[in-house]
Amino acid sequence: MKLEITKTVLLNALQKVQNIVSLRSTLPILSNVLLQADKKNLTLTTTDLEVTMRCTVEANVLKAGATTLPARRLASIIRELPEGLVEIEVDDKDVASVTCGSSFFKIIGLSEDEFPPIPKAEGKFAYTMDQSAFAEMLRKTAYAASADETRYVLNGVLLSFKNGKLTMVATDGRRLALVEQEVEFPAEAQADYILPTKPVNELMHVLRDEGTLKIHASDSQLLLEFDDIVLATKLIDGTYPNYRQVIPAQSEERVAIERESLLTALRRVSLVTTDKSNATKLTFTKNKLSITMTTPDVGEARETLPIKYAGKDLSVAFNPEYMMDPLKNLTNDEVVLELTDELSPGVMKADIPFLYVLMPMRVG
Amino acid sequence: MSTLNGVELWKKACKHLQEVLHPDVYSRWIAVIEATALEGNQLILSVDNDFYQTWLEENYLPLIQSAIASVVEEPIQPVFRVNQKPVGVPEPQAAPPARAQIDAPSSRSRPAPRVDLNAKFTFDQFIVGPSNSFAHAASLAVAQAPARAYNPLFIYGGTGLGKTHLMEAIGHHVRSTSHSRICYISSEAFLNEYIDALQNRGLVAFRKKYRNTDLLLIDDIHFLASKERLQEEFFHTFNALFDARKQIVMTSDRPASEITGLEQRLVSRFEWGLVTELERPDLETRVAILRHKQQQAQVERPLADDLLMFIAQHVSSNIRRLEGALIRAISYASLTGKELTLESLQYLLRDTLEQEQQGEVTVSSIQRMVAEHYDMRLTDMTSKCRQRSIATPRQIAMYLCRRMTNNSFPNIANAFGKTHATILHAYKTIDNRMDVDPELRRSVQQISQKLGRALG
Repeated sequence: MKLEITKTVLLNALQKVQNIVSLRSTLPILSNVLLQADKKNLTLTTTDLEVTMRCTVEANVLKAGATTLPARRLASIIRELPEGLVEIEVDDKDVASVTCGSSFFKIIGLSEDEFPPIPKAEGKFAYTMDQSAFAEMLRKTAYAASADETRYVLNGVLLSFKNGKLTMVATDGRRLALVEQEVEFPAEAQADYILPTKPVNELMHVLRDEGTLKIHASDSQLLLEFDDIVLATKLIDGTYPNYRQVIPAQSEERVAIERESLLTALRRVSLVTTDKSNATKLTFTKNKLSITMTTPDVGEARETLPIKYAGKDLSVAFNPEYMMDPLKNLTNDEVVLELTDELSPGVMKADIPFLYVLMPMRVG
Repeated sequence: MSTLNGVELWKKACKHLQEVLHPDVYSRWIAVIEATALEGNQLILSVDNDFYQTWLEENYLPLIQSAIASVVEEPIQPVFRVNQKPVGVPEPQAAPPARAQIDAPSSRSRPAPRVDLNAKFTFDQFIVGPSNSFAHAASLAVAQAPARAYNPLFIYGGTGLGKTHLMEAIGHHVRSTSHSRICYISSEAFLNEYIDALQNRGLVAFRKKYRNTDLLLIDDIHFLASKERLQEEFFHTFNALFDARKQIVMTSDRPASEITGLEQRLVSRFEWGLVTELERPDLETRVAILRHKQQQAQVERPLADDLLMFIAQHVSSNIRRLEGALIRAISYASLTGKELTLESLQYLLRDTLEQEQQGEVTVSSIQRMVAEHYDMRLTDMTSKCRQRSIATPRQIAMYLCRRMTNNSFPNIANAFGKTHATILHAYKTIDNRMDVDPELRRSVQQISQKLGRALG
C-alpha cells in the first residue's frame, strides 16, 4: 500500500475515529486503526467490538492495499508533523514508513486479517433526519443517563420511533430527561432502541450542524451514516422501563424563569456544596425566588431572583448539578418549572417538546 | 415483640405516607406497593417492575423508613422485590447472527455483571492427559448441566496447570449454550469490589450483583484466607447461590482443608460438592501440549519432534513455562532464520533448565544448605545444643523454612524437633535482626540465593 495525503485531512480523520480505541484493550488489534486504500480514497476504521467507526477521506493512492497501525501513536505522530503532504508506504510485513518533509517514521503495524469484520449497512428499517436535530436531541437527554452498571438498561439513551415522532429518553432513577421531534418514517418502522452511552458521546462529538443523517437499524445494532463517517454500534439488550409512569400528571404551581439567570444563580450557589451536602433550597414567595444553600463547616450562599409568581409560598430542595444539566443544554430564553410541594417531583419544560422530571431532596 | 404482621404494618405506614405526600405522588408510587411478608426485621415490599424498585429505592426509601419507624419501635428495614409475574416479555432471543466477530466480553448484550473471559480458554484448547482427565471430565459435566452435576466444583492444583483454563472453559460453554448470567471474578477483585462497596455504601448493589448470577466462577479462592469479613460475605453469597440451585466453581492452589486462615464452615462447604485435583502433566501430555501450541502458532518452520521432546523432557513443572520455552525456540528460529539444533536449543533455554533442575525448596534442603554454609553438622539442626554458633544458624534455617516453603509453623517445628512456639520465636528474632544486622542479612541472602530463589 502506498499513498499521499494532506496532513490536515489525515489528522482530522484520525481524530474523529481515535476515541473509539479503548485505552486498556484486551486484544492488541483493537488499539489499531485499520487503513484501507483503494482508487482515490483512504478509509480509517476503529472498533472496540461494541462500536465501530469508519471515516473515508480522499487521498492520492499510488498502490491500493490495507494494514492496521496503532491508532493513538499514529495520531500523535501526524499531529506533530509539519503542514504538507504525508506519504505512507506499507510493506508486506505491515511496517509503515511515514514521510513528511524532513521527518521520517517507521511504524510497526499488524496484519489487516486480524481486524474484526466490519458491520454492514443492513437493517430492517432506515430513518433519515437532520444531523443537527439528532445531535441536539442527544445533548438534551444524554446527561441524565445512568452510569451505574447494575442498571444496564439505563446506561444509554432510548430512541423510540413511534407515531411519526422520535422520542429520546434518559434517566438514572433520580431524574428523567425527554425530548421529542417529528420525523418521517414508514408506519411499520415503529421501534425502540437503546443506544449505549459511548456511541452517544461520540455522536455528540462528530455530528455537524448541517447535512443529513441516515440510520439503519436492526434488532441488535444501529448503523449511522453521515458525511464521510459510518458509525455502527451494538444496542443495549433489554426493555426500557415504562418512563411515562415517572411523569407527574399535574402540578399545582407553574412558574416561568429566565434560563440564563437561573443557571448563573445556581452555579454561584453550588460553589458552597460538598459531596455530602448538596441540597439547594428554592423558596418561592410572591414575585421572588430565593435560592439558598447551607453547608455545615463551609458556609452558606443566597441568590435572589425576581420572577412572576402569584402562587402559594413554596419551598423545595434539589441537587443543583441536576438542575443545571438541562439548563446548560437548552437554548431557550425561558424555562417553566412546575412544582407541587417539597416531596413531589419537579418538572422543567421549555417551549419545545422537552420535559425534565427531577426528584426533590429532603432536607432535615 | 410486636404482634403486627407485615400487611398490617404496611397499612399503618401508608397512612403516615398519605399525610405527607401529595395525592398524585402517593397514588403513583406508594399505592402500587404490595407488602408481602415480614421476614425477621425486613419488610418485604413487592412492586411490579424493577424500574419501580429503582425509583423507590432512590427517592422514597428514607420517607418509607421513617413512616415505618413511626409505626413500630423495632428497627425494620423495607426491602423491595420485583413481583415475578409473567408479564409476557420472554427474553427476546437476540438471534445470534453467525458471528464471525471475535467473541470478546460484551457487556451490552448480556446483563451485568461483566464477564471477562479469555477467548483462548475453551474446552477444545485444553489438552487432556491422565493427570487432568478427571478435572476435565468434571468441568465438562458441570458446563453441560450447571448446578445439576456437581455443585460446588472445587478445582485445585499448582500454578500453571490449567485451573483458570478449565474454569473459563466452563464459562464459555455455558455462555454459548444458554442465556445464563455468568460472573467470573478473581478473589482479589472480589475483595476490592467488597471494599469499594463498604466505602461507598454499595453493599446492596454488591450483594445483588453476586447473588443474582446463574454461574459464579471464583478464581484463587485461597486468597480469602485470613480475611474474616470477606469470608463472612462470601459465606452468605455461597449459601444464597447454593440454595437457589446456582452453580459455583472455585479454584485454589491447594486443597480447601489446607488453606490456613479459612473458616471451618467454608472449608466444609467447599468440600461439599466435587473436589478435583490437577496434577503435573506427564511427558506424553507435555509433548501433546507443545504440538498443539505449535500448530496454533502457525509457524512457518515447525520445530522437529526431537526438539519438542527435549523441551518436554526438561520443562516439567508447569505449562506456562513450557509454552514460554516453546515461544522462545520458535521466535529464535523465525527471527534469526537459522535452523535450530539441539545444542542451540540447550543454550537458548539454559536459564529455564537451571531453574527446573533446582526444583522445589524443601525443609530438608534448607537445613542442608544452612549447615553447609556455616560448616556444621546436619544433626546440629535438630539438636538441643544452645551454643550461639549453632543456635543462630538453626534459627536462620527455621526462618528460611517459613519464608520459602508453604509449610505451617507446626510442620516446620516437627522437622526441627521443636515446638511451633520456638519456630515462631526464631522467625521473629531473625526478621527483626535482619533490619539491624547487615552481616546476618548478607548471610541469609547468600543462602537463599544458593537455594535458587531470592527472598521477596
